[in-house]
Amino acid sequence: MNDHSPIFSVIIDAKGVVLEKIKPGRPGYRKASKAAILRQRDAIELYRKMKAARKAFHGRYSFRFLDTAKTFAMLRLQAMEHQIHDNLDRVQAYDGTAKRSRR
Amino acid sequence: MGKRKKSKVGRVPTEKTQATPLALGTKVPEMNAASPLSDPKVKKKKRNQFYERELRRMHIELVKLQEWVRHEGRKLVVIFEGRDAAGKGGVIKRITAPLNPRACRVVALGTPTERQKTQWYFQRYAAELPAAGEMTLFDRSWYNRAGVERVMGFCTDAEYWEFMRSCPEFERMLVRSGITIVKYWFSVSDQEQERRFKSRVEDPTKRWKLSPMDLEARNRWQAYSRAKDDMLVHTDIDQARWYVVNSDNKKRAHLNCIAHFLNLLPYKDVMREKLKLPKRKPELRDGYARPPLETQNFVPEIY
Repeated sequence: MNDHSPIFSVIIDAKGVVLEKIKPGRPGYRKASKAAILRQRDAIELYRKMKAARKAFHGRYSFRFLDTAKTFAMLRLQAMEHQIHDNLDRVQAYDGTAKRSRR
Repeated sequence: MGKRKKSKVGRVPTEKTQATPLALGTKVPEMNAASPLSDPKVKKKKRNQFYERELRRMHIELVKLQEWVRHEGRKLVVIFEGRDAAGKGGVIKRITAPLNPRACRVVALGTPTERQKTQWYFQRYAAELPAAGEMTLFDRSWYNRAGVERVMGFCTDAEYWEFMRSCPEFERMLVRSGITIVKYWFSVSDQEQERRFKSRVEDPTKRWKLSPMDLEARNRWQAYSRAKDDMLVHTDIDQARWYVVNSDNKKRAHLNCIAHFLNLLPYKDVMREKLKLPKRKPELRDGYARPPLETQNFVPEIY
């Protein structure tokens, strides 16, 4: 790994998640490479920490490897999907006895 | 039907934390440090006696669980995953030993056929799912894709990511349809796995357990670890949690896993009433006489 390796960014905002490759020399490369997460384990830890803190995750996260970036991005999207499915389960199971089908 | 009371006798003490789902990667609580199995000062004979006694106690509870599953029409899936020689088979053997093979089935699918390869990935596993009143124990499961297939390159990158995406959806669907899913990962250390592999090489009764593929997987220990971490984090959902069993010590792993499994399920004692063996009623004599023994092929009695 050196300054010629691309960095993979995961951008999370209210709309969703985007994966982006930043080639060396491109704007933002230096900043992204400084904060880039190298190990898959650190990516998982970061995800867990944010999930536990119930943070919105919004922001830009940089990774050295595509697989690690993909793992992080997918975990975030899956967390969103799980929330929707949980919501769906509750709405589906709502039988009118409670006041509302809690969110 | 017998009395419907919550089973307490012989039930293994539960830690309070088990009532709520354990966090990802949480190990199955191990036996008390004071347990004879974890005390090296206790003689082997005593340890074995303790193990046998505990196992016997759990076997009775497993039968109660089986009856409860049957009585309530529950559908139970237990998944056993882990590296080769991690002890999955041993635990499965101990769980199924006292149970009715009709109510508790073990599914250990081999490599898929050419036809199966063209099917939806979960199709051949879906065919093995339990009906009401049944338990199905998967000795390796659909998680092959996230483990061995990923590490050995038997699936494409796209297939792997598709699995990571669809597996939680698939399991959610099963849970919604009334299936309870419990997933165990058996964690074995590098050294212990090597010791077990050596034993498999040397023992002719165990040699069948070892294949060249297992040895190749061992060479990719780190890649396997990485795949496992990914798999656990992607597929640990509230509806179907992963529990990690420390399996470096086989006997402790057996008891820890079975105890955890029993504590996880809200089974009640619905054992059938004790039957009394009545005296045989005299039959009408209709002139039956047993045919000469020479007309039947008896197995030679050499013992």
